Amino acid sequence: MGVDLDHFYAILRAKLKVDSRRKSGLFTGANMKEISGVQVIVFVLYFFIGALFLFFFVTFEHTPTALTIYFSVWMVFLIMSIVTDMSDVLVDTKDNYIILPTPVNGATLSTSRMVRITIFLFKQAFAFVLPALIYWAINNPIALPLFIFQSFLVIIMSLCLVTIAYQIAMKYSSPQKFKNIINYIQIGFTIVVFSAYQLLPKLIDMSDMGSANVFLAAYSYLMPSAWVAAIWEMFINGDFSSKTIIHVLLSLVGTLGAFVYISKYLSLDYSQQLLSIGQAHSDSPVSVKTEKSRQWLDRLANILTANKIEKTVFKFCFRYTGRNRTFKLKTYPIFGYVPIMFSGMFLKGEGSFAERLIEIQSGNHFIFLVYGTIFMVLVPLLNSKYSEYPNQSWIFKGPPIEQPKSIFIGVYKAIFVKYLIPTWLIFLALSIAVWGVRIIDDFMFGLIVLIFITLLVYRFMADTLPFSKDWSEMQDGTQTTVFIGFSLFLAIVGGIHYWFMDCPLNLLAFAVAGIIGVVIVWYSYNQVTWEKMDKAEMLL
Amino acid sequence: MSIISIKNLKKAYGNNRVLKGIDLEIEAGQIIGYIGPNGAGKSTTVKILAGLDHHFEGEILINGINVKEDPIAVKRIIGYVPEVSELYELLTPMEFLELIGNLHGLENSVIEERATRMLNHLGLEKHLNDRMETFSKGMRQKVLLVSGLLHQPKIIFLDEPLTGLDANSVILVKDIISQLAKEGATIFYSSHIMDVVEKISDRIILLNAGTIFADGDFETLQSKYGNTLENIFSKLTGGDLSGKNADSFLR
Repeated sequence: MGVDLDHFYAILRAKLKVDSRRKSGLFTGANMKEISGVQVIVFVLYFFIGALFLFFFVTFEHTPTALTIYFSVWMVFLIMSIVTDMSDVLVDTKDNYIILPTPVNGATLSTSRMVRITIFLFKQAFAFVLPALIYWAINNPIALPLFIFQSFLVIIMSLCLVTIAYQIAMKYSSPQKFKNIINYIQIGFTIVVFSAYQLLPKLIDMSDMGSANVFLAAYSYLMPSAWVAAIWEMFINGDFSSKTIIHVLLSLVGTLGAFVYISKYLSLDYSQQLLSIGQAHSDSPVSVKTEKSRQWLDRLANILTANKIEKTVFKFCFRYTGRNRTFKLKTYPIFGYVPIMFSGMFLKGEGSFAERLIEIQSGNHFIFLVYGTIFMVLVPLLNSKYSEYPNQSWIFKGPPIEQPKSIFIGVYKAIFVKYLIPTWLIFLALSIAVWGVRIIDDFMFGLIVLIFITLLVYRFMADTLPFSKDWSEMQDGTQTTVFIGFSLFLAIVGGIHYWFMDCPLNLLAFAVAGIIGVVIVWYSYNQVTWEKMDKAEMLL
Repeated sequence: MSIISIKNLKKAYGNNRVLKGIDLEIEAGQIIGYIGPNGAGKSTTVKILAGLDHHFEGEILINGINVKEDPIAVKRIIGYVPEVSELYELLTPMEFLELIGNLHGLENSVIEERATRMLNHLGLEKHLNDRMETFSKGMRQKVLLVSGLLHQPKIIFLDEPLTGLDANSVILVKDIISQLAKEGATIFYSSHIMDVVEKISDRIILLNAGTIFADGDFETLQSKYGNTLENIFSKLTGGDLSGKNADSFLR
């Protein structure tokens, strides 16, 4: 493969040292004291999710089918994690200035990068797969080593899929457009993978789930998770049919082949393309759309903000979040997840589409949309703390701003208006089309709840100026953790709303309580002072 | 034979032509001051010479090795200090230099001895094992300098090496460059600090808008164009501020 082992070990040693000192990671070995309560929560969350998915093993009689679905779900998590949390490793331009000037070949650099990410993924994977390891250790200890091998293949395969997509995009796009293209490819890739694994199973008849055998279907050839699961079919179930052999070969040769392809053939161009990302003049100058766009933003800010500072920050945040690629990469995928999960509803169930639609219209599934929109605010708010240029936040400390409250409110309003309102309106329109006007009060109530929750969450973040922390300080797996954590929370809130849906007076009472809550939290922002922020900064 | 030979070097980023046909022959043991205004193409030239960027037209030979055909062989014999102060901040200087040294095939004992000596000379003796995330710009630049010289290359590319350094360190680095040249090293030094370039360079090459505007030792340029290098620079590049002055800037 052309990998220089001495160089490979030197690079990997240094990179793993860097990773172990980042404020993240489970089981960091020499840095055990860096394990915090948050990381324990992350571990428990992943363990819990992994335990939930044991459902497949007890439901499906055909174990390779269960494994196919289990690995499918896991690959989605892995790919999402790589794209959102490890993209700065895959597109790390520092290597061009540190490693590339040394006599290291592209294969060595690329392989060391992949192994580094694999090790990171193993740490995350361990929590997820631990329940399954325990399950197989008890139920089929002989198969346990095989399951471990399959899990290893799933991790490598997920990484290879993402890396190939990135590297091909870099190879065939011009350097000028590359940065934007890769940004949107990363976003699109996550959404496509997510939608494939969300929607495909719904296209399958699950009425006789227990006896389902995915290998009877032709589409199993297109499912990498099925290829890996076929290893079980061969070595545990003793099936050496041509179909199984092909699946197994696809998993082994495909994974190994992808790894070699990346390391040997794509790596040099990949590094060259990465270099152009960091070039100051690699792009043609990007001119901002002129007077018209400034005017509408100005008008919007005038209407929505209470003072000059709030207005200035509102406009800044509006522009910055739209131009910053890292912010977009870490934020935009969420806008695909909710609609995809919702559309799955229309594919589920028996009968024609019209029959399913009538059934849906008689139900209350719109609740999912009401509360799903919270991520359209929560994720951008969470990400608004970070930037690849954190020192640029001096602009907030330099001028004579008396109360930092205006800064935070300006950011909140910008994100709320830019991300939530358009999505909320679209979902409202779609829901009216399906369920009629009866859902409007539920959407309004849901909006009050969303405002209350997001204002409250952001209040806890109001000890750090916007865009003032480096992305590397974000805990690994934060995005995925927020998504999973709040999904569970919203299931509870949505459940309560669902319970009271047929009692408009109760809903009204909760709405009034919600409004009072919003006002209380809003005024609590007055307690945010520069002194308190400085103290919080020192504690960190 | 020239130790660095550049023939018709062209480089474009899409429609943006950055280098428009550079021809240079550089003898061993020279200190070349490579100057030019912002956006002239200085850093691009240095990156290409250092084997970081393979997408260019023209032919570059370094010690007889074609940079495009065998960049790895070139990297074995050159040292490079980038303009961009990129480091793995979570490492200490010794850990970072251990990485660089290992990649250049040095033994750990050699790395330790050289890195310690060089860092001590640059005033970092108390910070050898501190993580660089808290280092100032100047401290990082010193570590980068050491990283480019650790393996004792005979051809050294320095891209704005004095960025962030205090006055004492600037003097020290100037002396180091002069000493290296005396020992036979070839230094290709890109900068826009004119007085330093003026004092230490054997030959000054002025690049503007991707083309060489002037090439010669300081005395030759002085007799042709002006008295200080700053004046020569301003005269030849026109400058974005030509015709404007401080008064109109402020009022």
